[in-house]
Amino acid sequence: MSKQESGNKLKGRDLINVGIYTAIYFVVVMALAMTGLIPIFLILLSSMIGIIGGIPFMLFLTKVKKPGMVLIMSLIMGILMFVTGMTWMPIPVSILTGIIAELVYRSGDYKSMRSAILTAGVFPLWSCGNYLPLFLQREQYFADRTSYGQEYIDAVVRLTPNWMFFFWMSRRVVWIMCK
Amino acid sequence: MEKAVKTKEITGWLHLDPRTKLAMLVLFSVVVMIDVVDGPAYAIRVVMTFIPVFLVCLEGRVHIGARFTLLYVFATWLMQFTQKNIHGVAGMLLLFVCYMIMQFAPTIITVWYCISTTKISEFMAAMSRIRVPQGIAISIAVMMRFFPTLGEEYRSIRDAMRMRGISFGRGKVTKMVEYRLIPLLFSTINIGDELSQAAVTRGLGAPVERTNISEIGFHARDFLIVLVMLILTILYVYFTVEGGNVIL
Repeated sequence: MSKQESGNKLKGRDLINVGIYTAIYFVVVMALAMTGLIPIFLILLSSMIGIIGGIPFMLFLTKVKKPGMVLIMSLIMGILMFVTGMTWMPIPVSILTGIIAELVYRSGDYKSMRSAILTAGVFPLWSCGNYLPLFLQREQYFADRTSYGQEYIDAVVRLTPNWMFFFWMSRRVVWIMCK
Repeated sequence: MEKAVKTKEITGWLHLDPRTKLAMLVLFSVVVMIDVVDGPAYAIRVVMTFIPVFLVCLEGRVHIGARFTLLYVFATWLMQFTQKNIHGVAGMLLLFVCYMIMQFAPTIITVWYCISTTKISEFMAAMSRIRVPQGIAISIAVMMRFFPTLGEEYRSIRDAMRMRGISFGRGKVTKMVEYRLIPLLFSTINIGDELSQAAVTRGLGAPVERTNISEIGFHARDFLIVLVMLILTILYVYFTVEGGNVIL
């Protein structure tokens, strides 16, 4: 992995990386979703995905050098959610958030730490798609949580950089410098 | 590295086309996302739930089918019992758990069936036949192949951690996550590198059209299963609309 391949076309190796990290990410997300059996964790779940799922995701971002990889990963997560019975809504949502995450990371030329952190904050938004049906179908049940989407976005954006500080100790300086 | 020996892959004598399985999954997701509790639609839902179970049993995994059936029946019973007898927070919690089981167990078993009976090369052939972009197809194929590897790695890491005396329930949660997730990540990085080297050696990412020798194609059984699933799904949707249940 020392030599960077030139050109913007995705090669087999990139796709394999996408597959591997998606697998890890999905396993982490599923492990977290199991804790969702306890209702309070269901509310926290999305931010938990942002935080703990952020660990493999940041590692994935270090391998991303070409446009499209983040988008593919996001799309696959959407498809997986569809397959595991979260309705079709995650797919368009994941494509949308995937594109946003892609653009954010692209703005840093796939190198900058600051945009990587922002990407890690934006990417988990795909999980919002899972909750859309809950709002649309069972409005009476979740009536008191309709503000949850916005709260969640705030939480991820707020918490993820905090966690980055904690976990990527060595990169902290770089981050501040970038900022 | 004797993974090929260890992985218990059931190839399936039924030999359904991967596209049939895909269609099954999609139809199944349609059913799962609409929610009913009684009436004819519920009956159809139960019937559809047991189609993949039946297929799993046909593939010679009767014990898994039986286990699933037990779980499902128990969850149904518990749900009704809870609704009548238990109230308050505990009742809500139990209902929620039952609901989750009934909602997701059918899809889990369908996904399990589809993944464990499909060879990767078959999957790739089917994907290129329905013209899914290479990028997505390869990524999904790698992902599917990687789940068992991850499980294996996780088991070894857990054993190693037990040797070091780090087990569940002791210490902080963050430490627990760290001690498991980080070694897992780093061992998977190595495996991933090896995997991509192996794949590149075999010509993945070469700028030519990929060929595939696995034989896939629709047979009578494929048509039968897709037809049955399709009819059931249409009936299901029809009944739910008729019954006035809200859809999306």
